This record gives sequence, structure tokens and C-alpha cells, in this order.
Amino acid sequence: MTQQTHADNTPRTAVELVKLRKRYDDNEVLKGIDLNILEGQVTCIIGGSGSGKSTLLRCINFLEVYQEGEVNVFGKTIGYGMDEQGNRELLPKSLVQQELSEVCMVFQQFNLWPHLSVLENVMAPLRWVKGVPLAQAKQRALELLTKVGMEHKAEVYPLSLSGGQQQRVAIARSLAKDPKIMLFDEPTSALDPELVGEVLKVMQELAQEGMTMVVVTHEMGFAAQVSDQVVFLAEGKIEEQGPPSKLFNAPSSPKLQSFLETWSSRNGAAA
Amino acid sequence: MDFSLYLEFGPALLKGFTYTVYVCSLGLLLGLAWGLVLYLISLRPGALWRWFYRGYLATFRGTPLLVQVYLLFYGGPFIGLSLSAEFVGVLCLALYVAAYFAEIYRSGFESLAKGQLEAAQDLGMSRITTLVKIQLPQMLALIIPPCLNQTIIMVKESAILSVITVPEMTTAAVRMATQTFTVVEPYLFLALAYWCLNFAIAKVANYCELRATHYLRS
Repeated sequence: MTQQTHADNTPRTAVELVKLRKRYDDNEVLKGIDLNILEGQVTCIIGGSGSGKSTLLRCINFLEVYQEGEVNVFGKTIGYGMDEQGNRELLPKSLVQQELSEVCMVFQQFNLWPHLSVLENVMAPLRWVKGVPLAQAKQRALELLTKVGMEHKAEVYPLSLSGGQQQRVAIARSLAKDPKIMLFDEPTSALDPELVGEVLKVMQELAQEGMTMVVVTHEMGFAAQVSDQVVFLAEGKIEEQGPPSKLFNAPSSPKLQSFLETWSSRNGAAA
Repeated sequence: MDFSLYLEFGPALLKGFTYTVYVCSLGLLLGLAWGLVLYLISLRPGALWRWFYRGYLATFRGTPLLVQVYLLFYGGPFIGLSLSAEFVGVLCLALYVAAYFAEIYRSGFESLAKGQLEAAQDLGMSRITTLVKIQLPQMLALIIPPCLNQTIIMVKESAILSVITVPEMTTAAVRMATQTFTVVEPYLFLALAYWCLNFAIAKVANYCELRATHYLRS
């Protein structure tokens, strides 16, 4: 994956959130988020439960419909268009899917399709979305499975795999879409502790290859090592953001300080 | 036991048996299809659709098949519906099982994890591809056992059609009983015949289920 840059070598903006607001009925979950994510960078979103971090991520690929503000992916507003009067209107799902052709999500619960083999899962986006011929799709799927170290399980069904293996297959399946931006929604939270490492390793490799990644995570070690930017969310707002060295070593917000204290007292001195 | 009776009535009983198979197959196919339509109706927004669906279930699940058959066959002519016994038989079976199939479909679709559909959407899959490639294969596997149950119940209930003289096997057996003043021979045949039919249905369904749920056992 090569990183596209402008002539002056500054990376372009991949995802831009402008005054993003999301409500469930009366409950406002995102209260005006402004965020810039550059191409080729890894952004980790951290925060307590209920802080809105998963919702934020799911607004980017429009699995959640936001009400106000904008989500722009490579400059294009996702989910909404203009009608003749110039009012904002919701676009049909199929159009939104086209707009998001360069974005893909990895889910906490993997969400593999249990009735399809590992290989068929990875082939699905190739065959049934892109219309790639069978032989070619199979070859590409095997390449992707090799990349995540799962080619030896190509013929088995997902339910016979461990959580870590399933998540690696899910990453391969997402890569089959050939995305430029990958969203990770707590990709290791459903895993047994000893399986977390294998998934983080795959993600780290993706980051090194220059994939634009937005990761909602509780893995502070990963956030500290891999990310270019860390965003701390609290009560639907960005409480603090910046490079990981700044946020983890010298947090200025009291909320972030207490969040990190709670985290490190629960996890020893790992971070 | 007088086995020689079967020589005389065998052909009539077999004819009844094939007619039972015919009526039940038709009732099953129509019921499966109409049940799907009912399920789709239940998904429609709007109070009118919802009321229709609930009313349908209340009518066809809440009253005995016997009463439904009587009402349509003997009550039909009063509102200008003079239908043949055979037609009423198939129609009643189909209308009756469809109510149950609709609810089975619903449980099948609702049991699929929402995340699977989100993944499909996120990967760019169209609604129809998601339905055909993701939802239907899993849902069909899930609903085979309840559908089998319902089919077996329907086959046994089809005996009720004898009350409106549909020429199925219960009618044939009852005729044999009244003509020969025997009880054991005709009804033993009936019991065995229904059991064989249901045994065969269960075999087919179990085979389909094994094939369809292969992924759960690997």
C-alpha cells in the first residue's frame, strides 16, 4: 500500500469531522466533534464506556446516522446530499455505500459469516461486490489470508477458530475491499488476553505499510506505540488530543489523568 | 385381522394415500409461499398491515382447522362461494399452515446476529446480495426443524378433510370401515400410512438440515 501525498509531501486529509452531532432520541451522544485524520496516519480513540467513541467511529462509515455536522472522507460528505432547494437530504444506502468504497470496518465481534468458510468469507467482497472472477478472487483471498497468517485455515468454518484467528480473518476480509481507510471498533476487546497480541501485530504491520487507521481501543500500549495521534473522548466531546507521548506522559485534562490512572492501576505498569 | 379385505380395498386405499400426498404437497407449497408473503406483510410499516397480519394469525391459528373447513365449504355458498371439496381442502391447509410458517420465518430472520448484516453493508454488499448470500442460507438452516414439525402436524390434520368428502385416505378408510363393519383393518392401515408419510418427511428434512448446518459442526 503506497501512501499518496501532495507535491509538497504533506499528507492529505483522509477523514474530517466537522461539528459532528449524533443523538438517540433525547440522548446526545456526540456533542460537536471536530477532528482531522491525515492519510497514512494511525489515530487511536480512547475513553471510558459511554463516551461515544464507538458511535464516533460508526458515524464515519455511516452505520450510525448522524444528525448535524459533517463527516468528510477525502473531501466528500458522507450520507447526505443536497436536494433542489439546497436542503440537506439523506442519500439512499446504495449511494452511501459507493461513497464509502475506500472505507472498511473491523468489528469487536468479528462478524464473520458462519455459514461460509474462511476463504469464502474473504472472497465475498471480491466476488459479490467487485465481481472479480472466481480464480482471481481465490488467489487474492489466499494472499490476504497469508498476510494475516491464516492461509492454513482457509477451508474451515469461522466458528471452529479462536477469537484471535477470527479477527485476523475479519481483517483479511476487510482488506479484500481494498480500503484506503480502516476503522477498528475495539478489535481486541472480545478476545482472551493471550490472543490480543496476534491481532495487534497484524494491525501494526498494516500501520507500517501506511494504511490510514482509526482505532477505538482500550489497548494503551498499542495506542502509545503505533499511533500518530490519540484522541481522548469524554461525554461526547474531545477532551484532549495530540501525539501519544504528550497524552500518555503529560496529560493536561483532569479527566484524562484519572482515566489513565484507573487504567494503569488495573493493568499494572504495562503502559 | 382379515387380510383379504386389503385385496378388495387396497386399490381404493392406495388411491386415497396418493391423494393425501397430493393435497398435502400442494398445501405445503402454497402455505410456504403464502407464509412468506404474510411475513413480508408483517414487516410493512403502517397500522393497516399490522392489523391484517394480527387478524390473520388470530383467525387461522386461533380456530380449529375443522371449523375453518366447515365454514368455507358449507358456509361459502351463502356468500356466493361454491367451491369443490378438493379446492377447499387444499386452500384450507395452505391458509392454515401459512400462519405458522409466517411466524417461523420471522423467528429465523430475527435470530441472525445484526453484526453480520452490518459487515455485509460495510463491505459494500447490496441488500439483495445480502439476502441471498448471507441471510437466506442461514435462515433456511434454522427454520428447517420448526418447518418439519409444522409439516408433520399438517399431514396429520389433513385427515380432517374427510369431513367434506375430499377423496383422501381417511375418507377411503372410513368408507371401507362402514362398508365392511370392520375397525382394525382400515384404521391400522391409516395409522401405518400416516406414520410412513411422516417418517419419509422427517428423513428428507433431517437430510436437508444436515446439509444446511454443515458449518456448525466442522
